[in-house]
Amino acid sequence: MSSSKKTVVLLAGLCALHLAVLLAGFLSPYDPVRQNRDIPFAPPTPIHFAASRSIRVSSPFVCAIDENRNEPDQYVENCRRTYPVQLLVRGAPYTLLGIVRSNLHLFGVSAPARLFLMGTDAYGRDVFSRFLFGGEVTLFAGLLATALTLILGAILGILSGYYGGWVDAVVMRGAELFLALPWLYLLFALRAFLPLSLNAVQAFLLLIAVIGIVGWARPARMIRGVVLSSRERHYVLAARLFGGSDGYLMRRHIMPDTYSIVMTQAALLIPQYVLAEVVLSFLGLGVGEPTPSWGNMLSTLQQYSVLASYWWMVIPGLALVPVFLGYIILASDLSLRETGRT
Amino acid sequence: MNSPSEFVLEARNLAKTYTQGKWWQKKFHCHAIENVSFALRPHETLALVGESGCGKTTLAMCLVGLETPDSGEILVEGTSLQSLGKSERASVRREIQLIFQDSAGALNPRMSAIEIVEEPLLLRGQPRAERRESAERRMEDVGISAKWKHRLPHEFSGGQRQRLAIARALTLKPKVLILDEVFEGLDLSIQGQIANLLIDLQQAHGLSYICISHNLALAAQFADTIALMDRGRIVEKGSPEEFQRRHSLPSALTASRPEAAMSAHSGA
Amino acid sequence: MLFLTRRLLHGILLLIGVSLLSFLFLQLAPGNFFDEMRLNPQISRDTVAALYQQYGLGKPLPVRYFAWLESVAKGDWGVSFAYNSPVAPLLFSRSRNTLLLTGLATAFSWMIAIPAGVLSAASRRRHRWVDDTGTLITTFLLATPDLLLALGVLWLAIHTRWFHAGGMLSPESADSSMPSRMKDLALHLVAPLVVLVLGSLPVLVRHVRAAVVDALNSPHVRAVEAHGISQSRILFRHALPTAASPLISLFGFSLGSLLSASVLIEVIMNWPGLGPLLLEAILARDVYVVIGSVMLSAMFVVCGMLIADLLLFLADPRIRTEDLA
Repeated sequence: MSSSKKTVVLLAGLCALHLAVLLAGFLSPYDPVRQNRDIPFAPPTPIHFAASRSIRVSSPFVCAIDENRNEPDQYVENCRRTYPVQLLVRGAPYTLLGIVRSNLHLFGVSAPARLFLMGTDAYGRDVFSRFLFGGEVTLFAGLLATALTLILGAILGILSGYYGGWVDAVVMRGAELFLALPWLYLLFALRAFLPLSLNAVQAFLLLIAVIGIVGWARPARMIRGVVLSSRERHYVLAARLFGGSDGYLMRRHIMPDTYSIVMTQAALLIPQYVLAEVVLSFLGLGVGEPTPSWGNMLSTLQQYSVLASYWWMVIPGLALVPVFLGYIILASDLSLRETGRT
Repeated sequence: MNSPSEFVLEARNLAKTYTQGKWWQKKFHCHAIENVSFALRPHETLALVGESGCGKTTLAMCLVGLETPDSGEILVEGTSLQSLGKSERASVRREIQLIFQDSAGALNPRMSAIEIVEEPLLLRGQPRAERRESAERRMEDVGISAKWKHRLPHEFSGGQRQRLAIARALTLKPKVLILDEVFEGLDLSIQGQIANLLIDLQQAHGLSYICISHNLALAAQFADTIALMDRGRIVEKGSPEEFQRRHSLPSALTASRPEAAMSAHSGA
Repeated sequence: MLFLTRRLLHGILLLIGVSLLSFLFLQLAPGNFFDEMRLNPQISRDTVAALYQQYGLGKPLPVRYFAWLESVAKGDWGVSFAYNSPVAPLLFSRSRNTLLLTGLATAFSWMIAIPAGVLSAASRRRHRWVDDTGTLITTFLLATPDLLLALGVLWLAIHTRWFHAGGMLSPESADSSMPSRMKDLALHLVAPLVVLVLGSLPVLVRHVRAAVVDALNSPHVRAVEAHGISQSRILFRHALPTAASPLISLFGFSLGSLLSASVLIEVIMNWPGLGPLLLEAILARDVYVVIGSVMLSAMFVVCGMLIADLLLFLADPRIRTEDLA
């Protein structure tokens, strides 16, 4: 596959993933915060395609789940009662992107059966639904924080590179300061010095702000480098002779030179920032209960009993690997393209 | 002093020194130009000749305002630039335009030909239809067909790019064009074409030229006055015939100049 | 010499900047350590107020900053409200544990990364598959977050019981003999070490490989190749010394992050290092502990940069001549 086709496929895959989590309400069968205290830590519900005696494949169905009378906290299937898996069912209401209200879900089973594609957690909440909603929080926290960092870094980098002088000196010394501190420490410390108990939306926005602000230094330096060489180009000098203001020169001639480096930085930063959200929420410094995020979903695994026995709780962590892989390959593609051109 | 002058551009005792070194180091001074004076008449071409590093480009930068001279005066049509306010100075400065040596570097590779040529008018605030029309006319003036207006710089040859740069400079109807080594890097035949174009434009638009070059022979063909620069100073000034006598340049060179040829033919 | 003294001054200025920045955050932080206490009905308002005064939390920022500087000069580094002790001994004892872990991890990582990277780069011409496989493995490792690796290793520890899952020492070992204590420590080290090494390997290997590839493609090495010198001589005598420069900077960076690299791992695996202390202090608003940890870690970063500069100075003749100019 040619390299640009590979890039397109990667981008398409990543877009599809992000779209899927945006449609979390539609794709998930249950409300992510709804607890089912009677069925904590249930393993993923098996979906059957054929009745046990016949060979014919039928439409998917699930069996009823009962508690194992011999071992407490263990579940066993009771296939004398089966319930078909249906498409496009009505269920718990949700809002997509805060605009579209609906209660239509892609699939589900009718009561009293329950379909837990990824099992349940300590409070009996459907892990699959939480996985989708949590993915929305985690992935978009990473994206938005990256956008913030790149905007901040671009503004400071462009101003610093274009004007030089004391502006440049101040910005670059500031950048050194931020780069001298270990990233995770800075994140913790910054987060620490802010209110600890917030509601979900505030926590989300604060998280984005903190992660986004901490990382401005490296992109700013790289963009500044581009600007330093850009501003000496003769077409910029010529435009100044024609009466171009600083703002015009920066906008029309210098900024376009920074786009490719911004793209490469974005591909590098997004996975780092997604991971930052996961770590902060894992440690209790990010998004809190009951709102799901891949980070706080993993934090129950700090208890060894959970880690040892309930493997489905790791799924949000495993999901990070293909996401990061996608971004890593994209980043190396983009940087090859850039060095190939320059 | 606002007296009308016979000179379109005059420089008096211009000097500029660059200093290298941080505050705790011993400084290194580079006297780029010292005590430079010249006067340019309308429709005249002055050639500034000298080796690389002798200050020609610094002088050009000072004349257009990209650098500020440490001392000395610049007068445009008799008006000293220092006596003007900031915006007046900027508008007077626009009478002097600069054509850079590197044609590819002087054009933004992402902009189309028409966007490049009309940029000065865009910055003057002209509406789109007017701009386009003026720009297209300037393109025709320099010999680039208007049907190529959407092409990007890399799709043009070096000579064509210089023409576009000249067209762009002409949109502001300047009085003086400073040509900084514009023939550099072009084939001899293309150099000839550009030289002819410049001569035609000079007659059509009443331009004055300051032609910067390290090639004395080329300058002799093209200029009315030659000023020789060495290490930041003008060491010799005179007409091409005087230079020919002093430096024994082949007379064929000066004889090939258009005016000389015409005067020879008319028997004057 | 001038070059190095300039870098040293630069580093000191940086540290001062860090301390000022941290104190600035102090001012912006809402709430303090005693808020929790205030909520507790058993402790009287007066006691809380008295403690507040005693620790000087009400005083203006510059006063507190200079008081802290004084405390640093004395060797106390401020006071921890939670532990009711000077911050310095806390920091240093915890740092020892962290450095044990990260020191070993860094050593192992570099010892594996250098041969792996060199092998990968050198095999590109004749045995491409070695390089390709290596790159595949490192890319996968790179894509796997440390968090996941830690959980995986813990799971392994729990199920196989080959090594301990977390903590630094078993309580029983305090009374046993030195060799068995060493063994106990070693078994506890396995889990966090594996995670740290696996976590840092991909980045290091990538850099080593890139540096060696660049060196092998550089004009002077190619010139030597044209002379017909053997491949191994080219590698060891010409390519590797060239590749060393960028790697020295990376090594300085590794040294600089000795204190901070293991924060997450320590918290997950209950290793009593600086990480859990920092987290605890953050949640409890034990401000001087937080500032002390940040400063200590910044010091390591600055020292790492200085050591890298020094090594580069010694290794790369070009920097020496620049200095004399």
